[in-house]
Amino acid sequence: MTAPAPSAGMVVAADGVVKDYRMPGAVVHALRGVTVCVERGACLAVVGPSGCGKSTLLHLLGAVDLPTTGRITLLGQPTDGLGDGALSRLRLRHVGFVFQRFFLLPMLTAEENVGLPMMEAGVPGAERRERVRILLERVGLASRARHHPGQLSGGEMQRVAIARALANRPDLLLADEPTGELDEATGREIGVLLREVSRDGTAVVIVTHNPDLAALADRQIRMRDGVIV
Amino acid sequence: MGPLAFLVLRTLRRYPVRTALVILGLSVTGALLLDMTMLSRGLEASLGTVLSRLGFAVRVVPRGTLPFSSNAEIPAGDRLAAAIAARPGVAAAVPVAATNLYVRRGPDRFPSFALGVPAGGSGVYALLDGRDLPPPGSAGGGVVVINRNMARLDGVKLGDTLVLSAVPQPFVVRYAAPRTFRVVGIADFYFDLPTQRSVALATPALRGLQGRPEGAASLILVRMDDPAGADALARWIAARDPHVDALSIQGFLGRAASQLTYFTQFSLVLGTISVAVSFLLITAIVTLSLEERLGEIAMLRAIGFAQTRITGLVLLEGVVLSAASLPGAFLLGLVISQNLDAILRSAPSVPQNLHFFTLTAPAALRTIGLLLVTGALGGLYPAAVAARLGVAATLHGEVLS
Repeated sequence: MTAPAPSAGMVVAADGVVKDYRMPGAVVHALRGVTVCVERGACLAVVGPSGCGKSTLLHLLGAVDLPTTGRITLLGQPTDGLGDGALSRLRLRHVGFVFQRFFLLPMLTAEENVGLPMMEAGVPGAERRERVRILLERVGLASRARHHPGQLSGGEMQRVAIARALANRPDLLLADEPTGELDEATGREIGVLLREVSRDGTAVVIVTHNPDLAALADRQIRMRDGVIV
Repeated sequence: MGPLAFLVLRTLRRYPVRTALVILGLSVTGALLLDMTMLSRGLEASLGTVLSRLGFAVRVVPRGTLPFSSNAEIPAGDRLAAAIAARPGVAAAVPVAATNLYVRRGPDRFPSFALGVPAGGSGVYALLDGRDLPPPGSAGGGVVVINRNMARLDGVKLGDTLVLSAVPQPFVVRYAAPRTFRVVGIADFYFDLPTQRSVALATPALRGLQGRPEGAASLILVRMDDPAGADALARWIAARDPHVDALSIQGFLGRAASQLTYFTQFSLVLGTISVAVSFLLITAIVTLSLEERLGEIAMLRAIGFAQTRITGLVLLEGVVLSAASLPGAFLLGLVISQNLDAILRSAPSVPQNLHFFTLTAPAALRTIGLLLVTGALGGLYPAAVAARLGVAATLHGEVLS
């Protein structure tokens, strides 16, 4: 695949990205030259069998990890030249993550989980509370704001996780198997919610095994053995 | 409240029983640390309090001694005291003679510590009842002031008659004949042992009992208008008479401390052990807690918490555990120290007004500082684990597990 041409609407781009993991006695080639770009408001689904490099690509796009070679450009900035502080700030203010296992903090309520990225970003208390209220309303959980994750169903927890991912109004939302722990109907609801997020202007990348969820995306890419096929 | 403090407090509340037990454990080790900090300088601090209360800025003693620690005397003590009294800024210079005497009251005879002072009102003791010794040369000699022990343990009352002698058996006396004295006052002699009997009498009378000429002194106590000049006066005295040491309160405490190093060493050993136990306890519990939530830490990193923030989060957890143990450590430490102090003070030869465990502001601050630093140090290893965490690998591993 050729390198994407830079455009004003491009949120993230991977250009010839290779990712190797050095293991004792061997090198695992997780990605072997992946090139892809995602524009503002687009919804991209990444599908493929387990171990094909989907999650690795997601982590690289979200600046959680750096490529061995090749380049990730996030909001016009190459991630390989940035230190941990700058990468963390980039993730905090511009990237939202949704995980298969939700990773909500069990000792915090739903509203506190949603407010946490805003606290870290220094959003003042009154503004934070208002934005948390709006986000929980948006994911349909206004009435469960004071509940802890243990008091919520799987679908509700994933909705809270999506609200948390949207807390700092990210340009890019990355979802790693967001319906992997949910039943079919709940998974469909989460898919619709993610699609709405992209329609509001956020670039969304969904890694999934779920064909129904992938079908909701504007575009799908299929991966196998670390390359896009 | 910042996000780190918020997260730490919520994390500690997540397992309330475990957190409470750790805080209790840290309170116990913290109590031991407080007690050892109090002990290391407690006697010195207690001595300093008593010395300051007496109001004497300088003490002049025979060279190399502490007051009343030996039978050594300043040969021309009265003359030296007069010279000191003539120095500017000196309010009074009181030569004090000290020896051991025998007191007979009716059929009872007991040993007693005796102080010879020029006159009443010298400040060497605090009068509690009756009246003080008369001024020098006045009528009405042959009187003594006794301490509370003699009044309490031997039933001696104001107006009673005592026979004082330098040796226990009057019939062997050749030069120091027994003399009869009337009790006119009861006083607090600041450095009395718990059952020690003490009397104060005019110096000439004491010298008469000893069969010695006047002029020598065991100790010269100097009261100054401005105690700030104590060090300068002490230097002047030491230069004038090479056979004496002139000690300001600080100098006195320094000399006393040099003879009490075993308390410092003892407290250093036990204090170090308590710090080590606190450190290990915090390291163990924070590491355990961290390993249970590596996925959550990886999530925090993914959503934008920088490596330094995660390091701070884990270190803060150790510090907060330490801080939470402080009230318990102080409460328990004070209770234990009172009991230990009572045990040590019941040993022989310990003056009544002195304490081994003294809570001072520096001791409290040192304990708080040590415990908080120990908390931070205890969080170092788990913080390093958190800082080195591979975010992507951990997130992936959590899903696979």
